[in-house]
This record gives sequence, C-alpha cells and structure tokens, in this order.
Amino acid sequence: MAEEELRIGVFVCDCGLNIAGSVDTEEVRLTAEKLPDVVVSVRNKYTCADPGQEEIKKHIREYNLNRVVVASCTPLLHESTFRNCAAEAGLNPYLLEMASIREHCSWVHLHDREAATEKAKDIVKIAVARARLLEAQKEMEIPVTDAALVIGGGVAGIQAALDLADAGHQVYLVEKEPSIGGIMAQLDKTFPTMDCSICVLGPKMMDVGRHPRIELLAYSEVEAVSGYVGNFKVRVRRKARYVNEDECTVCGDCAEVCPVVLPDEFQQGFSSRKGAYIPLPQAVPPAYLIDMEHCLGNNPIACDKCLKACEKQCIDLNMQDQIVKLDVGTIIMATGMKIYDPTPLDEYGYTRFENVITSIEFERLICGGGPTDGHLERPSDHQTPKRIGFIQCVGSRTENRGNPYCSNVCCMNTVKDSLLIKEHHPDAEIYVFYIDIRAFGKGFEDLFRRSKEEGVNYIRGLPGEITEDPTTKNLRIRVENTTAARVEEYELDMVILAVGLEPTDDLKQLANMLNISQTSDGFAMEAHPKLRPVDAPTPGIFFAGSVEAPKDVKDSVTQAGAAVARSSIILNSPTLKMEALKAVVDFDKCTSCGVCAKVCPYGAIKVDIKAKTGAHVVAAACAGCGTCAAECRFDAITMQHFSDAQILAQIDAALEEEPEKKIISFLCNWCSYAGGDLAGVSRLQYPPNNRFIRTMCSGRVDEKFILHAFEKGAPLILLSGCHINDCHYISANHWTKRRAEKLWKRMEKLGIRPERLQLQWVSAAEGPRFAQLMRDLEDMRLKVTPEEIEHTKTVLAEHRLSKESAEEEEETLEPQVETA
Amino acid sequence: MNKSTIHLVVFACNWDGLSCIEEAARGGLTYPASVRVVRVSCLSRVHQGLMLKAFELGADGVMLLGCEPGNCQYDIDAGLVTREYEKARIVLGLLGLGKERLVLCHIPRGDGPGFVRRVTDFLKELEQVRPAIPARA
Amino acid sequence: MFDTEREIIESKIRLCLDCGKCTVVCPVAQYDPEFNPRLIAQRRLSQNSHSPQDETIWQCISCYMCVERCNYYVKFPEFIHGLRAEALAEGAQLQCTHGGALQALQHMMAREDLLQDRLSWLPQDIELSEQSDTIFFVGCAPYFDIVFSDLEVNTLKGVEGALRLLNRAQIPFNILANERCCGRDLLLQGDREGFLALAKANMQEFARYGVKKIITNCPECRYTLKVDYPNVLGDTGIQVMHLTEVIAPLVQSGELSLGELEKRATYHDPCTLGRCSRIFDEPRQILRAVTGLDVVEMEQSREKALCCGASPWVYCGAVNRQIQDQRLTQATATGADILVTTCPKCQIHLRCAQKSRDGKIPQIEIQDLAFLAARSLDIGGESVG
Repeated sequence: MAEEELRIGVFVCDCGLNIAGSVDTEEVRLTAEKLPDVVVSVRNKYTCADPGQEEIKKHIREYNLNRVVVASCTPLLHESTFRNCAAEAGLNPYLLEMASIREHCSWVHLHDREAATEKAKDIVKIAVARARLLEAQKEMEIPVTDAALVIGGGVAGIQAALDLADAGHQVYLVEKEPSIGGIMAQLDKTFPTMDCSICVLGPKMMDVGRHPRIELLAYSEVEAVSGYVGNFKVRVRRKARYVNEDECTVCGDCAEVCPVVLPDEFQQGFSSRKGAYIPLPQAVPPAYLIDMEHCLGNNPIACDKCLKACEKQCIDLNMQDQIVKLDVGTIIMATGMKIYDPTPLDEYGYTRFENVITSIEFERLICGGGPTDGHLERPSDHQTPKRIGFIQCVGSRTENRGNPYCSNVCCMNTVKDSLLIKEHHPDAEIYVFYIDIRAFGKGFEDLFRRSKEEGVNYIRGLPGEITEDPTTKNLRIRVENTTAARVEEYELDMVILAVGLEPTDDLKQLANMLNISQTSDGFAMEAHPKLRPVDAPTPGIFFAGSVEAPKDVKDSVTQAGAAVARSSIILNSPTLKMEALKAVVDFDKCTSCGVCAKVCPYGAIKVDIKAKTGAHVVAAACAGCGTCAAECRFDAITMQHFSDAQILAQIDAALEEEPEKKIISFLCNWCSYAGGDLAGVSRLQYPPNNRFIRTMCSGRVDEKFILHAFEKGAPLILLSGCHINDCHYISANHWTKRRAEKLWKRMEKLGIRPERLQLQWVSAAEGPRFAQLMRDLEDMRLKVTPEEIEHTKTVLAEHRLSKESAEEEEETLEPQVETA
Repeated sequence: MNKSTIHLVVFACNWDGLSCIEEAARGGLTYPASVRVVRVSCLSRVHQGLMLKAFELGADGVMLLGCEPGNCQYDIDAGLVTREYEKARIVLGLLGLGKERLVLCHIPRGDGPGFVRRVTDFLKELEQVRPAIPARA
Repeated sequence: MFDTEREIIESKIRLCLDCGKCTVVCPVAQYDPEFNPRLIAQRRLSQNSHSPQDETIWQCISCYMCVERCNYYVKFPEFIHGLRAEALAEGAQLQCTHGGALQALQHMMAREDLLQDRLSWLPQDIELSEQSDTIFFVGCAPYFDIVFSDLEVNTLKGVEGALRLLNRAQIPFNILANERCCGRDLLLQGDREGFLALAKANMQEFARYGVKKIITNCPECRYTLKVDYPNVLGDTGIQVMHLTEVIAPLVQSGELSLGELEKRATYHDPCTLGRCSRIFDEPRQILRAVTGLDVVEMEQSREKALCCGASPWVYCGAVNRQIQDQRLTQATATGADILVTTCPKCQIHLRCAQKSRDGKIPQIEIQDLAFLAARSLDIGGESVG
C-alpha cells in the first residue's frame, strides 16, 4: 500500500483509428479523470511514438505522478516501452499499469461503439484499481555466463556460431550428425546465384572447426537443459565415434578394409558406404567414425580389420559415450527441418516406380560429388533421361496427406534444378507442373525468366496420377493443363517430386526441454511474428534457420545474424536484470508445511519441514508463476507485482457496476491472454461482456479470487491458461486444473452450478478459438438467472462468515506431476 | 378442388383409339369434361414413366386406348405397351393407390358408344375404389 | 433448411487451388472432354448474373473421386447438387431417365395419406420384432425390381439375404409398412422440395414408431438418413448403420459364422459406402468369412474404386455406359466368377450395361453381398440369373 498520497495519471491512446475508430477515447479520458486518485487524464494519438512518450514524461514531472496507467494496446507489446519511458522520467517502472483497450476492446467490438466505449471505461477503471496498489520494485541482477550454445550445425547454426565467436563469445556448437553441414551440404547449387553449395559452405565449416572460441561437439545431442536466461545448464551426450577425432588423418584405410556395406545416407541411398566411414569428404570435424549399430560387434570385438589397418592407431572400439556439462548464457536453436517423404501419395508412385525421385535425391544425382559423379542418370537403367518432369507442391498446400502450408523454397529449387539440367543437357525436354511459381525474392524472377528462356516448359496443373510402363520404366503422367482446360498425357523418363519441408522429428522433444511452443504447423513458435521474429518466448533462447519455418540459405544466414545480435545483448553485459516477479515469503505466517516447495515447477523453494525454519525461495530460479502463493493455505506468500490485494481490487472494480453483465476471465500472460491478443489482431468479433484479469500463470489464480468474484455477483467465471502439457511454467497448470476440480465439488455442495466456473485452455496461437470461447461464454451467461446470482452471493457470504472453509477435506497434497 | 370430380387421362393411339373418340363426338355422345384425352401416334409410345406421371399430376385413373390385336398401323409388337402397363400397375399397387386405376383397353375401330360405355364404367369403378386423391400441392 | 451461401462456404469450393487433379481422376471427364469439374467450379464462382447456365452440371455421377484427391477435400458433389437446385429454380428442365418413372413414383411416395402395400415379398419365415425400436429400412427395392424388371436385377433378394442374416445373428428389428424412399435421388437432382417432402414423411413414420436405430442394405439410404436428414432437419437422434457394419463385427468375433461357397469373387466398393462413408473393410471381412470363397481385388479398389457409372436417374448416356464397361472389364480381368457389391444401385446400373450393346459388355454374374452371405448358409434361396 502506498504511504504517500496517490497521484495517478491516465493516458488514453487513440492509436490512430485503431482504438479511436471504434471507441470514444475522449469519453474514456473524461471518465478516467473523475476516478478517485486520478489527477490528470490525457489523450494521445500514438502514445508509443516519441511525442506520446514525451507527453507521459512531461506529465509525470509536472503533476508529480506516482502511478501511471496507459490505456492502449496489449502489455505484451509495449509494457517494456512504457516502463522504460516511466523510468526515464524518474518513476519506478513497476508503477506502470497498462489497460488493453485495443486487442481486447476496440478491435473486437468494431460495430458497437457504445458498448466498446463502456467496456473501455471499465478496463481503465480496473487498471486504475490495480495501479493504486502497485509498489515500486527493484529488479535483481544475476550474473551472465558469457557463452552460448548453438544447437544444430547446418548453415544457420554454422553462421550463428561464427558470428558469436567473432563477436568475442565462447560458443558450443552441438550437432547430432557426425559432421556439420546440414541440408545445404547435400545440395549441388543454390538459387538464385547458382553457386556450388559445398564450395560456399565448406570454408565456413572449416572456420568453425578452427575457431579458437568455438568448441564443436559433433555426433552429440542435447539431453537436458535447466536454469534460466544468463545461466543455462546443459547436459550434452557426446556419442562414441570409436575413432579419436583429433588424431584421425582421414586416410580412409579403415573404410577400405571394413566388411560391412550400408546405404550411404548422405548420397540418399544411391550408393553405399562402409561401417567405418566419413559422412562426406569435406566433413568437419575431419574424422572417420564407426557405425556401431551395424558393426559386426565390439563386445567382444568380432572383426578387427579397421584396428589393424589404422596406422595412427586412433581407433578405440571400447570408446564410451561422454557426458559433457555446459554452462551458457544463451541458447540458439538451429536444428533445421526435415524433408517430406512422399510415399503416402500412392498416386505418384514414389518407391514403387524407380524413376520417380524426390528433389533432394535429384541434388545428389546432379552433384559432382554425388553417386554418379554428376552425370544425370536415371535409377532404373542408368541412362540419361531426356524427358524430365517436376511436380510441385508435393506434400505442401494440402490437407490431404502432407502439410497445409507452403514450403517456401520448392518453386525456386525447381527453377534452379531445371537450369542445372539444361546446363548438362541442353536438349533435355523439361516440364514443370505447378499451381503457382513463387519467385518472390531478390533475383528469383530473373532466374525464373532464364529458365523459361532456356526452353523449360511450365504447365499449370498438378498431375492426378502417374503410371509406369513395366518394360521401359518410363512414366506416364496425366494432368489437366488448366490454362488450356484440357487433360494431357506426357510420357517421361524421370519424374522429380518437389517435396515440401517439415519440422524435424525431434523438435517436440527439444521443445519440451527448452520450454518452447510449436505453432500449428509444428515449427517453433517465435515470441512475436513481426517484432520479435528470432526470439523464443522463453528469455535467452533464439531461433536461426528453418527450425522456425522453412526457408532458403539467404534467409537462414540472415536470421542467424539476427539471433546472434539478440543473443549478444544478453552476453555483452556481465549481469542481467530479472523482472521483479518473485515470490516473497512472510516468515511470520509461514508454518513450513512444505506445500509451496512441492508445487514449484522449478524446485526454487527449499523447506525443512522438520526444522520448521520457513520456506526459502531461491530468487534467481523463481520464474514468478505464482502457484506457490495460490496453494499456500496460510497466505504466507506474496507475489511481487501480482499481489492478492491487487487482483482482488481488479475484481472489485470490474464488478462494481452491473456485475450480472460481466464475465470475469482470468487469463495467463503467455497463452490465453496472448490468444486473446491474436483474436484482436485478427479482428475476430465477440460480445463485449467480459473483463480480463491477467496473471503471469493460471497457477496464480487462488480459489479465493474466484469465490470473491462470485460473491460480488459475477454470473460466470473463466479460468484459462496454456494447454495442459504446454504450460509456460512447465507444470503449473496441473495445479490450476486440480484447484478447479476442488472448486467444482465445493460449488456443487453449496448449490452453485459448477458450469459457472469454466476451465478452458487456449494457446497463444488460437485466436479463433478464443473468440469462439467468448461467444460461447456469453451464451452461457445469458442462461444464468438473477435468482441464481443472488443465491450465490448469500450462500458465499454465509460461508465466508462461518469460516467453514478451513475444515475442507484435509487431504495431503500429492503432486501428480514430476517437477523439472 | 372439387372432390367429386374424378380426373381421367386417356392415352389414345392416333388410329384405332382416336377413331372411337371421334366417332363418339360425331355421334353427339357425351362424357364428363374431366376426362382428358392425350393423343399419341402409337400406344407403345406410352411407357411406365408417362403413366405414372399422369397419376403424379393428379389423375385418379388412366386408360390406355389402343388398337385391336393385329391392327397396329406401325406393326409394333403389342407386348411392349403391355409390359410397361403391367409394371406401372404393380407400382400403383405398391404405392397403395390400387392397380385398378390403370386399364388397357382395345375397342373396335370407330366404336364411339363402346368407348363412352367403357369410360363411364371406369368412372363408376373409380368412384367406388376410394376417394379421389388430391394432386401434389 | 437450405441456404445456398452457407452451402457454398461449407463445400469449401472457394479453397479450390485450380490444380486440375480432379479433372484427371474424374471418370466422366475421362470419357467426355467437355466435362471438367474444375471449370464448373470456376465458372460458377466467377459468374455474373447474365452468363448462361452450365449444361454439364447434370453429368456428374457423384462418385467422390475428385474429393479423394483434392488438396482441400473440396466437397464437389455437394456443390454440384447445389448448382442443380439453383438451375431448377431458374427454370431449367430435368432430363429424367426411364421417362421420369422414378421421379413420378418418388414424388407420389411423399404423399402424407399414402398407405403403401409394399411388404408382400416378405417371406413368412422372417422374424420381425414389432416392439423393437430398431428397424430395417428396405428403401426402394420393391419398386426397383418392378421398374427394372427387364434387367432381372432382383434387389429384393439382397434385402431378403440381409434379413436372414440379421435373424441368424439374433438381432431384433421391425420393418415399417409405410417407409418412403429416403429421397437421396431427388436431393442429388436438385429437387429439394421433393426431397424434403419424403424426408418429412419418413421422419413422421419414424416418430410414430419410436425408431431409434436403422439398419439398411443400401449405402445411399444409409448416408442420406445419417447425414442429409440431420443436416437439413436437425438432429434426428437416430443411429443409422449399413448391414455390413452390423454383421462384420459379429463375423470377426466369431459370434456369427457363415457357410461355404467354392467360388472366386471380387468386391466392388460402392462409391457412397466406400469413398463417401469410408467403409471398406467390413464388407471384405464378411466375404472372407465365407469358407472357400476366394476374394480377389480389382485393379481399382477401395479408395480408388471405379464408380458403377451411376446416375441419379437424370442424364444417363454413352459416358455412363463406357464407365460401366470399364468396371465390368476390370472385374472380369480378376478371373472372378462373381462380382459382389452391397449397393442396389450398383447392381441395377451394371446389369443395365450388361443387357445393352448386344451383350458385348462382360457378362460376369453380379450378386448382392447379403444375398451371397445368406446363401452360403443355405438360407438365401436360389441364386440370381
């Protein structure tokens, strides 16, 4: 509680027409002015712009404001902007509150100015109620480890590692394959420049191998990650190569004598390798390895030909996996993408017809370092194909087996491939079957034009089926040439499927480890698609390359640079300030019961139940979810900046007038609130009868908030957070669910319909679902009768007064979920 | 719709069939105006579809009036229309409307009174079978 | 009831990528270059009020091959049905097959005060449970067998076989004396008024007898009762199953055993049961349970099965005949003695083809699956043809 006199300033933003277009911002400003403790209320066209911010600072100084409320867009967008602005004017940044009247009001109630304005006024009132109780906070500073982990050694990871190292930071580059290089190493040429891919990438790979500040951990995988930004602790498994990396001279004698023959994955299975092998001649680290899964045996050693052949004696068949523990300040995910396997598309006959191949298989066939030394041969008879067809969008832009999105690179890749073929065989007849040719980038249209000038035929239409002539193994394609509106047949020697791109198989596992979300396409989700495209929502983790969405080399390299720049901001400073959202224990009230320690997903609370010395919070590890505060039955824990008093004040302000018309929704900062923002950004419309209260996590929502809201006359309450396995705070929403279940039982006993407390998980990507939920809630609210509300108020008042709540089922708390 | 009016459709072939009707007219014989005549070149033109369509449109009864055996102007096998007629009859039976509503008649060429008698009898039968079925609204 | 704008949105026709895969796999387009499903969609979507009506919309046989291959599973057949309704509303004339006999009798069947006499074919020894809230829906079988008597197609034998199987499996059911045509044909033709009249009449019958579950031998009836009725009239609360959905689990678990038939048979997936309702395995499970029956697959089966060349009694022509010829040739190529199918329409259309062109179309024996299964138990009576 503030000791001095409260002087609150309210700044209402027009946001051009974004807010003013559907909300009467002048009326909002006028109403705000009349609220108790508000000394000035100002309207601005673009509050976040320089002039707007200057006005805020001016008013802070002139009016001696000690609390600021900005009614504009979502805090997820500009809270830090305005916090900095306040700080510059000498006000503690935690004394700022934002009221979202854009994403949650003006954008979603475009056609009802009156209702939108009323709601905006309410939202400001709620914000002012909270602002009254805000306290100045001091952010703790934690030391930052000046080192970065880059996961993935494709072109994005390589570039990121080099940039970070050149910028003076220690880098650990972990790559799960025996060599770095990724997909780019497998390509022949890149578009639009037609550079030789490995020629361009090779020197970078060597630089990585040589760089004094890069420690390359190839043939390794990240197994566990703990900690937080500035202080990540990573456990990496270095798989045994059975060859001493540093001693190996890449002479190849071991491979010569090895009896085990296997398909060569790098050559897409078109040629073979030995059990002792090097993935590609330009491999970095430059060392062979033994494929122990297929080796004849090392326990006991079944065949020792490689041992005998190695002059340098650097083969050790008893090598073990090594666990390496790393301390890093930031992590860059650059794990790339996977190529779509078109086998399910039986109409195209991939794997049934030999001469139907994928685009990556084609790269190896046309590449000088490939299985045919760059001579274009077709698989069935090794003859040079004269008539070649490319089919676009295989596995992309479809809900019918495959993925609904466009895979970005396949159009240009095919244009490039068509020119490659023409280079080798100017007389080749090439057909590209497409729906659209997406040549959007710099130099792309030019390449497409060159391809047409060379005589490549572009036929608009996707083949419905391919059949094979059993003797010649030629392929017959039936396609509707949609431009000519007639079905045509083509006989071709070889067909190349321009397959799409997908997230890697292990992305889900990695995402869980790092607390990263995936979008509906399965790729990694960025913090904000426009303004923070390389940041993960989790602080300290960044994306580079196709892990975030399929992209070409140029965009991967660009993004790597961006990720490095973002990463450097953290690494360049010896300490990092952490947001003041920590849990604080009141030792007078604490009974050392241990419940808080059990529910903390980060294990950040230590309690000695026997010694009864109180609960001790390891502040640096505390993420601020608030679950401990909600579960503590003695009200001994206060959450900085999200105290009980503040939240109760918000509820009171929301339900002060006409409570029966208001649905109270508790939304979590990371998922459901952001989902609401997305609904707003998408301009999805829903009824204006809801009032949102934001907490960092749904786990923060104490049952007393809900009962208080019902007692104040709320008809319906929504409790919402991240989907059950996607909680931003790992597992906190499991406790939310459990709390809701207990509450439903209690409500039933008290004669309150349990459906009036809704528990719905909404993710940040689910804008339409959020909007639909709001509509459904309004339908539910209309079915709540005034009698029900009155009855609830009476019952809860009695309940509270008789203090029966303390006697509830005295069950011991059993966590159902493993904490990290 | 007047419940007591019974609607009849007579498909008459242009030759034997129509001659009876024309003869009746020449002879000044009358029959109710609710008896409508549809002239066809040959009765084998009338397949089950047309017969059923007449009922769909509100006919209470349908008479097929054709040539005597061996008299067909076009030498068409009389079995054609007989088979169609039998099929349509069974369908009418299935529908519960009653097979009796469809009849196939051969009346000697030019027998006007014979025609009028047959029609009048048919109308009487229909009156007794069941009340008139209203046409599809 | 029907809302054209909503239908267009629900058919997802606006998502059409204009790729042309539908045209390639469409059996009608294969034989008639003038028929182009993609163009029909594009023409309609870019229509201004003065462009002429598209004549080709009547040729679609609703076989769902286009949907099977479409990137967005655009519901092209439903879109076509909507176009037909639009055309009729604007005064287009239906080109009925068989002289409009089917349309006439289906319209008459919708009359509220109708009292059909349609159960005389029912053998005495079939057990009916008049108290049961499950009914066996016979559909138009009694009518088809008369209207198409020269095809000697006898769809009632399939119905009978189904009833015997249900009796043998001890599944109680009743048969309504006054059930109407399900109305699917009229719906597909665009005659929505006619469909609604039949649907309402049927719903009244079902309500009168408290029907909660329907078993039928016809995939079209199954689909219409299960999907179209609720779509248009609201939730009916009635569970609808095809005979094979009921019998197959019993055969798999061993509760029902079938008999013996030393023949080679090939199964033709009806479009409405297969691609439309995704029921491919159940009929095959039943066939494989007949001892000695060698079940072989045609080159185009299951999701890729070729349509029987059906038309909902409008606009049937050379193209349909060619499709039927192709299908029967595929069946004969398997070396099978019998072509088995679970749809009365398929049986009618394929038989019609066999009776044409002076018998130059393959004359493989066509049998209903229920009839075959029942006959294997020596309870089905004599074979067809």
